[in-house]
Amino acid sequence: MAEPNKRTTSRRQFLGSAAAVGLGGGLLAACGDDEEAAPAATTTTAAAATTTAAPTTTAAPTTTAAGAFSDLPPAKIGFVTPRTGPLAALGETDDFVLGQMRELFGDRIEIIDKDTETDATRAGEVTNELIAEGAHLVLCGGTPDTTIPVAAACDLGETPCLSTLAPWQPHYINVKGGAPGPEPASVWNHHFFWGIEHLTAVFLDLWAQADVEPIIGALWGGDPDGLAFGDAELGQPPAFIAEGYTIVDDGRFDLGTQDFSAQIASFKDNNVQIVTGVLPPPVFATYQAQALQQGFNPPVVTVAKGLLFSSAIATYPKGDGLSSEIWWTDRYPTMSSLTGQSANELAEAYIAATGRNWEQPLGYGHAVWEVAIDALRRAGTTEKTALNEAIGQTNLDTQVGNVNFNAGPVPQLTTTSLVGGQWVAGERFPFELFVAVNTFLPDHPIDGPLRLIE
Amino acid sequence: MEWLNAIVQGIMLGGLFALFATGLSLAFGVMRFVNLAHGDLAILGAFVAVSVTSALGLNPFVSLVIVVPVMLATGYALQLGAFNFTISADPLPSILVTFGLGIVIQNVLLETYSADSRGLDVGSIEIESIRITDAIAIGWIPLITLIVAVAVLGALQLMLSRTPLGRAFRAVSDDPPTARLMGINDRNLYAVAMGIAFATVAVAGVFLGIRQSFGPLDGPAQLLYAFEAVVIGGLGSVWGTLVGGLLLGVAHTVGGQFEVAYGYGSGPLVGHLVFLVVLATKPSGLLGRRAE
Repeated sequence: MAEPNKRTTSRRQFLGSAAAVGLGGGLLAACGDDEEAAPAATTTTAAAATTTAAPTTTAAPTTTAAGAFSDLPPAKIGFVTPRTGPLAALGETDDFVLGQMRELFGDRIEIIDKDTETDATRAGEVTNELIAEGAHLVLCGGTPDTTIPVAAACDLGETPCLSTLAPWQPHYINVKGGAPGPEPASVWNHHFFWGIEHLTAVFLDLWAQADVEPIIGALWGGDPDGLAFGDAELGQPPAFIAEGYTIVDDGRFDLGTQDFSAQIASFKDNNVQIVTGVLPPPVFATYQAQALQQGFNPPVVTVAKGLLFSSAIATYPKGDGLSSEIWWTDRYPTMSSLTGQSANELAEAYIAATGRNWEQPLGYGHAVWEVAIDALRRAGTTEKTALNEAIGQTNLDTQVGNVNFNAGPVPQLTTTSLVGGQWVAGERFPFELFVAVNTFLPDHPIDGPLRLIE
Repeated sequence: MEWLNAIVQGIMLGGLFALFATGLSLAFGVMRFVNLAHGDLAILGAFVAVSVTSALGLNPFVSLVIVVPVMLATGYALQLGAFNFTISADPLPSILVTFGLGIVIQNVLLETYSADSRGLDVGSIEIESIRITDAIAIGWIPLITLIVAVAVLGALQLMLSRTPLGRAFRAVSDDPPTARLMGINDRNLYAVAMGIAFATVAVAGVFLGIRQSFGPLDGPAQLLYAFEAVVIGGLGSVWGTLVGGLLLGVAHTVGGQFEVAYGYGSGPLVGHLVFLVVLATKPSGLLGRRAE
């Protein structure tokens, strides 16, 4: 045991330094892998996604009281997400999810939830606390800044860890401390989410529907995401260029910038028709207001990260028509293995309970519990090694689709599907999602081709 | 033409920076008070405006009629109830107290308004502009922000130089013990100054909210630019604050243009460099009173 322990310690040290440099290297390397394998990955995942169509369980919704879970061994499960701080939007649906789970499990499962406060160091600390408090399993999610330190702490504490809500490449590469290969990221970690290859493919599929000149204006900032997405060799540019797009890229700007007049002037000069990038919501809002003031209103705006939450869209000067990757919708052709709720029923329950529109992390927040409970039931024990092995044997149709940890792309890690679309003015809420691309999930209804922004 | 546009946009951006820096500059000028919660107070002002606009259906510009007095009263009460106890030759107590206040504000906003980013909607004027040439357009919102910044700073300068209140401010700023001997209630005066500082930062917060979206934790980032504008212009100098804000704004946009034209540089970086150069060569700021 001394040997693995030694190794994990050095990995943890590596993580510390990786966190210090903002995980940039990891993302870059991740993209490198992605670009070579992009077409292949597209087809395999699309095939895997089709298996998610038929849900296996048909339990009646909400009638499942604690009694239905009485076969579970009594367990303590930790739940680590960013609930406050800049990433808090990712944890916005957690209150609802945890309330639902506590009601389902009664006192059979003790749930201890911890807030990372959007701080990678604190994420590791609260995980150590959870393990010290006797957690048998730790669930976590909310960008690599959450999943990496939690997975590392679980590795040290030899406690099973199930993570999601972070693109798989930066998670895997930083937890493992090396490029994707035949080894798992960590013995104690299992991870499910989509990857950067899915994101690039969805963007290209969206643009293929738009009848515009293939000129892209890129807003890749100087943060780890922007550096990774925009890297000329390892980022998105090679895939875009291969599809015949011209890229107008004016360099990595500081995300603290309050002014985009230089980029906007350059986009206008170069007749940019498609604006892309990876921007946090306030930065996108600044850019958009200024672009519109300067008379720059391109027909397609597809930006990662900043266009995920309906609450953020409503704050933009012009939310209508903005397009983005979509992780989960209320029309996913899926069903919960815990409650039998369809995606729509889950979303409606959320709206009824909170009075707010559903957001995309809801599906993943629910699914991570499905995988955990399924594994706990199969393990029949809270003995950590047995539980970890049971997680590894997971092949479950969840709220976000099939999760099968033997399906790859690397051991103990699997990818889920991703669709794409845009925000349009809605009837119930100011903005609702219009799905235009379902390459990875053909059973998801399509609302129509991408509409150009007027 | 791009460079001219960068300068024009920089002056507009500078209006916002100057507006942010006003309250900070006033509090420092009158009572040597360093307010680290300044950015969070601006965000607080913006959130108060969110509540006012949604509750009363007012335009955010009109909501200032309510937001500004509310923040003014808050500033007055906070100074009397808390900040006055920290005022001494040692700047550390005020820094610690306002640092703590900033964290309290962030978390109260988070609890009250959730982590959602918000915006203040003033309608289509947000994206309208005055077209000067094909390459240069001045947005109405940035222009209004600049005009308001100049108006606020001008009014402040008039008040300081022409009114009895201003005279009292200058007196306590120069020599608090003597001012007290002359019958000036410096504690109350400090509270008035802080009230005015809060009022100006509320205006800045509302304009920020109109210009871009904001969340409960966006305050500290605003504090940095406000500090830089104050230091560049000169601590405690009213017109210096305007000059500092405009210079910082132009540094940001020219830096951004530099990056686009030559592939390196960045707006905030050039802003920081200007700040550093001023601090190194003229520590009292461009228009600041010479350090004693």
